[in-house]
Amino acid sequence: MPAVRIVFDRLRVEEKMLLKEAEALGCDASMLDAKKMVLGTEARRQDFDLDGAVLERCVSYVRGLHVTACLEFMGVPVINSWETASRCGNKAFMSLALKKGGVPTPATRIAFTPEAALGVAKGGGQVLKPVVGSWGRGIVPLRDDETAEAAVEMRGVRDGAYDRIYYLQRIVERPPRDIRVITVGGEAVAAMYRKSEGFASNVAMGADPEKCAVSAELSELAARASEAAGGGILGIDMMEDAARGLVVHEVNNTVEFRGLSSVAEANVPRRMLEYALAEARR
Amino acid sequence: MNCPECEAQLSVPGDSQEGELVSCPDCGSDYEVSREGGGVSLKKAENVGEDWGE
Repeated sequence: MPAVRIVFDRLRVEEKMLLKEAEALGCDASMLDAKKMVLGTEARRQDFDLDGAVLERCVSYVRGLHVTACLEFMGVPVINSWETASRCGNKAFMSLALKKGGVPTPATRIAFTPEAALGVAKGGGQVLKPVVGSWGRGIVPLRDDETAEAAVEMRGVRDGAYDRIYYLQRIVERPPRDIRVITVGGEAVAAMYRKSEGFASNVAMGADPEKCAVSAELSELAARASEAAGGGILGIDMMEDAARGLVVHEVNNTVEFRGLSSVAEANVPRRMLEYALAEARR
Repeated sequence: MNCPECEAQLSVPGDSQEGELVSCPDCGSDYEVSREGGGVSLKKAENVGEDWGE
């Protein structure tokens, strides 16, 4: 019986969907709470229940990254790999990887002091994003100098390690929606529009999911973005730039798919599991 | 079972899984279900971190 292990730290709908689908596929499926694991240099694979396909699904990027490093140290193949997870969880690393991979992406500047950030933001037209973080939180469009000064000042008040990295991206002129594509092993299996009248188009921020056809153009671009990220199971976010066509602005490592599953024809968790099981057999 | 924060009555579904979240209807506190040792207990859920997401 093929085995599936889902490493989690907060049980979301997606993890429950994966578990249910794994059981429907006849797998020996179980959940492993990362918060209860103690790993490290002395950990041995045989001391853990880590047979078969291992999916890392932690909601905490940093925790998931460290768990993956420890599992890979023990010779456990993890989906997604540490390399992919590391890159996707940090917007700066991902933007650089997309550009290097020849994937169209919005122009992005990374500054390291408030003064430098304000210099980039002068005149408006930029969006300030947390370099680590998700669900559209902390994203501030800087349309004028006053807004930029306030947003940068707030960073100084928080003063976390990542607050000192100023990730500034050119605002893209686009319809009031973006596109989320789920790729599995580089193949686009489903896509949706995320419609929102606000600036952020995350479903977590209230955007409405709507079915989007997986065109050849979208599929080809998603495959290139997946390759730039390092492959695996990914959520590729695209915008329809009025000047350039489709651009990729973000790639997500532990992709949430409850919204997409509600409009997609494909059985998204099943496709993920079939891929993970095939990878585990290699 | 009572909310450890405000002592309101909390209902934990019988089919809830290890790690599943339940929220107190009165004070809004979130708890994780633990089924260690055969019984059901609740522990305070973690707060949303800046690195949380997908």
